[in-house]
Amino acid sequence: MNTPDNDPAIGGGGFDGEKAGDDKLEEFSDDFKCCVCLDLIYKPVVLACGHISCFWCVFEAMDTWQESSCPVCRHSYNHFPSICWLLHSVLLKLYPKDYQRREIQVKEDEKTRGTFSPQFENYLTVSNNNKQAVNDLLCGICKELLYRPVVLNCGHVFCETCIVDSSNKPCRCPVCQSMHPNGFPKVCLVLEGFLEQNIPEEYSARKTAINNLKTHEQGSSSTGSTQVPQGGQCSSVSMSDYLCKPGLKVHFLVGCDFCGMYPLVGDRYKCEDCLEDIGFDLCEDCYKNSSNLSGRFNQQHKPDHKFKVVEPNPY
Amino acid sequence: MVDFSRVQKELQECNRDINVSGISVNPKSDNLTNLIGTIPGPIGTPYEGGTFKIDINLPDGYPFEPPKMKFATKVWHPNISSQSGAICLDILKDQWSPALTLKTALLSIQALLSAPEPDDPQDAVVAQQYLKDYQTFASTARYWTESFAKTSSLGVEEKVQKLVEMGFPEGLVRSTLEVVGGDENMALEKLCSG
Repeated sequence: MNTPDNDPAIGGGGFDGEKAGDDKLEEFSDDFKCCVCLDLIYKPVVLACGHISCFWCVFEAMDTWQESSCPVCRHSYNHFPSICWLLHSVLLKLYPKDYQRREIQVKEDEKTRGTFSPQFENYLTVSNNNKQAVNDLLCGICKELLYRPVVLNCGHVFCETCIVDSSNKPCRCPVCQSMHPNGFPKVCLVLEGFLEQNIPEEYSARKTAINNLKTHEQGSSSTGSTQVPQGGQCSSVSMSDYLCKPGLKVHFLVGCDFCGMYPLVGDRYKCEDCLEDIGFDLCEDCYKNSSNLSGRFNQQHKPDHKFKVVEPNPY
Repeated sequence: MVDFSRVQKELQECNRDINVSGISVNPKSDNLTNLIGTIPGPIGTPYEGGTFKIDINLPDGYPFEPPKMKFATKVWHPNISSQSGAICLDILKDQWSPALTLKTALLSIQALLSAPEPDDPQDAVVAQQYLKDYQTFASTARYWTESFAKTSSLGVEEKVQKLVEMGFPEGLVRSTLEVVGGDENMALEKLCSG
């Protein structure tokens, strides 16, 4: 079992060993400035409302005692989303020097903190050159360039139309099967703006193609075009309803490491073998339904670890 | 622990467009947890022409907790205590968001000066007067602006002399005046509190 301190932190994309030079840092666009730390977003997390912030900034801004709300638009949510690795690689290529500076800075903070953010999953192959490639910006369903991108709680990115079309239940990620609990996701406008600006030709081609398809569907079907589901359709029971129920178990200061629910409500399954200070916990749903589990804070959790049910701490 | 790198960025950003907004934030001491903000009184209100100083204190949890702000300049307003300067404003309490900044908070306070909320008062006396006798309210507010929020006509040397005559050592008086930006009332307060 590795303790966090032994973890050399493989890093966001191969900058290890190089020191940030004195070269002038890139002037990054305000679109990619975190609204919380006012610096370049590092390890981006996208909330259900489509607003982006850093992993640690979202973590710190979440409410310990009740539903959290987006720092920008106050849209309420109760699950800590996973890092969007697609946006991570976009930023890495767009502002390599600044992103490296942020990486070094956050690593220092994490050492002080004793808790670490997840390391880069290699499901995306970041090309070596710094050019934005269409291949790195594909929808997980249609495998085409993202059009009106939405980011699910698990961090995977899809076209808005694909998520609506694929099934009537947009609650589960088609790639990793995790639940998307925060209502139908809104388009991530910053990512959309980036696509429009950086790969304008391909993006407008996608726009035309999708609009043509829509008109075609509208012509052939009497029921009309696909409709974006309203916010409430796929959301779980709202946290405020939960918190008001007498006798319900609310584990303040504890979150589910898989779906990100925070505070954790219902039965809490605590890993007895993970040694990290932050621990490893699951909610009942995730404990029963998920097989491939990785921690939110780079915990070294293994499938053979044992769990026990823990009662809430009295407050 | 206050996120000082963010506070630094905020100060730079705020003071960059000071000519447009008229709003400034400056550190009161070296540690950046005590700051002083200034807002111009909104035009067309009894506060017009005044410069209002706001005492800012950053709690350890900033920016995840709201900054503590109160008026250092005396002001006559339904949502501001005429005694303590305490401000009744939702974004400084439960409606705070880490996406807000010291500048946006000061802008909200400036907006509060333009649009009092007498139904949710901080100072009941002022609120009553605002609702029942607006004319008297407006003239009192104007008088307070004249008396407390206008830059003193005294020159620096006169201020120093005045404070030295009260029995404070000259060196201390000069450094204190510098810290509070030349405001003799605030300097006196600071000198008295040691």
